[in-house]
This record gives sequence, C-alpha cells and structure tokens, in this order.
Amino acid sequence: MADKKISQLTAKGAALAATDLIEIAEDNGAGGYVTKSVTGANVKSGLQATLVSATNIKTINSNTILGSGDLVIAGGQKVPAVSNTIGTTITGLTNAISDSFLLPANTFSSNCQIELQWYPSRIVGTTGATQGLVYINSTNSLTGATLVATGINLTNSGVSNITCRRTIAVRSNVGTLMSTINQASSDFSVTQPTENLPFNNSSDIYFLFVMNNITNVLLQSRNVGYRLVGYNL
Amino acid sequence: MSNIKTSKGKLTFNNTEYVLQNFTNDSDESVSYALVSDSQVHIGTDKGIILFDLSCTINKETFTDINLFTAALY
Repeated sequence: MADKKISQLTAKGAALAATDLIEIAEDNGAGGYVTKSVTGANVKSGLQATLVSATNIKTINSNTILGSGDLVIAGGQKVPAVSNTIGTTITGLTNAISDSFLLPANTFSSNCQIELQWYPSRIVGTTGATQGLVYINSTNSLTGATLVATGINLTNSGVSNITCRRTIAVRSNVGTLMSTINQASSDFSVTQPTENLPFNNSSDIYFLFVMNNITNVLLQSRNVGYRLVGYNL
Repeated sequence: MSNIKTSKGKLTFNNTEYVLQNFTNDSDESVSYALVSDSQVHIGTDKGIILFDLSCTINKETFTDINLFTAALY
C-alpha cells in the first residue's frame, strides 16, 4: 500500500458490506487525529433505509409517490369554510347579514362543484316567520348581492334550528342553481334556478348568511354555522 | 354610493349588465321583483336574483321610498 494513490487501489465493485473496513482519521479533541477503522455496518447505521413503496413509505390512494417528476392531484375535495360560530342576532322586520365568510380567489378552479350547508336559527318570536338566505357578492355587503339560496320558512315558536343545503355547479366560472320547487324539492333551499349565475373563482367571493324576519317585529334569528365543500373538476 | 344605470329592460351595476326577467317567488308566482323590506328589493335578472337597496342611486337619482325606487328600475 505504500506510496499508492487511492485511485490506484483495486475497486471493490460491489455495495459496501457490513463487515468491510474503512480507514478513518478520528478527531482526538486535542487538535490531532487518530487513525482507526469503521465497519460498513458503522457507516450505514442511522441512515434511512432504501425507500420501498408501501413498505417504509406510504402510498396515496394505492399509488406510489416514488420517482422523479410532479405528482398531479386532479380534483379532490376541498373544505375552505366550516364554522360553528353563532352569528349576529337579527331582530325585527329586517333582512340583514348574520354571518359571512370570504372564499378567496382561486380557491376553486373555473370548473367545480360546490355544496353549501348552513344552519339558520329562529330564537325568539311566537308568530311570524323567518328565513335564512344566502347571497354572494364581491364585497361583504348586501347591496348588489346575488341571492343563491332561500331557506324554508321557520315558523315554530321558540328556538328552531334547521339544516339548509345548496348545490352550485360551476362551468367556466358560471354557476348553475338547481330547481328547488315542484319537480325537485330536495335541494332544501329555494331560489330561482339559473344556468347563468356569475361565479368567478378567480375573484374573491363573499358568502353572506342573512336572516329575513317576516311579519313580527319581535322576531329574533341568526345563523349558527355553515360548511362549504367543493370539488375541482 | 353605487349607481344603477337603466336602459330598456336592462340595468348596469358595478360594470355588470343585467337583463331584467321574471323569477318565481315563494308562492310559486312569476314576478319581476319582490320587496324584501322597507329599503330592499329582489330584482329578477338573467344572472339570478339581485338585492338592491336605497343606498343605491338610479341614474344618479336618490330615492327614499322602496316602491318608487323599484318603479324607477323598470
């Protein structure tokens, strides 16, 4: 071995074995080094084992994530808004915002399906009716807002909570609202069906939860939660 | 204060043009508008039902009565 460059040694030509020996210079802590040997097992100790899909690295929906390149996740459910917040109590004959949330621009693509649930609550009043309405707007304001859902009349006296649901199918940033009367009353919330609802996901969209108290100035109501679920297509 | 510009069966608000058209109200009747409160009205359009209120002007004119406000839209 004397006067031989490392490049002149015979190549092992195989992976490092656990019993192989490697020469090292160990720091003696006093500014010098001591020549020692370590085994192949010493070198490999503590290193991550070779990744084997589904063995020591999980898969996504049974698909391996090993390899180079980009893993495109097409579609998939998003839940950009969910809340159990007790909204502002709306008192008297008025149609006013009880709660709202902002759906930030580009949360969804221009083609998507959205399902909204909200929970209007009538809390005071022995007569009259109240409705939980939902509007969308580019600002957190009712002026110029578009009605996307009208909950059924809440007429029971005392506390009354219901679940309302609305489906919006968005194609090229234009939404379709399903019919909710006569032929199809199962979308749980009434409004005019349309295939021309502006729903531009490249812009901010505020969802406004509004309580509309009717015929009784003593009525009090509020929204008590919501959930927005959507799928990019 | 936001302005609504009207023209023959159409209105323009916030740079969006709406074509006025009927919608079905809670009583299953075809209507062109529905008063929501003393200051708010639902207007049927080709882009859905839009809420307007007395905070808006119509062709720069201010209104304090929702009935007069609604009449001015048509």
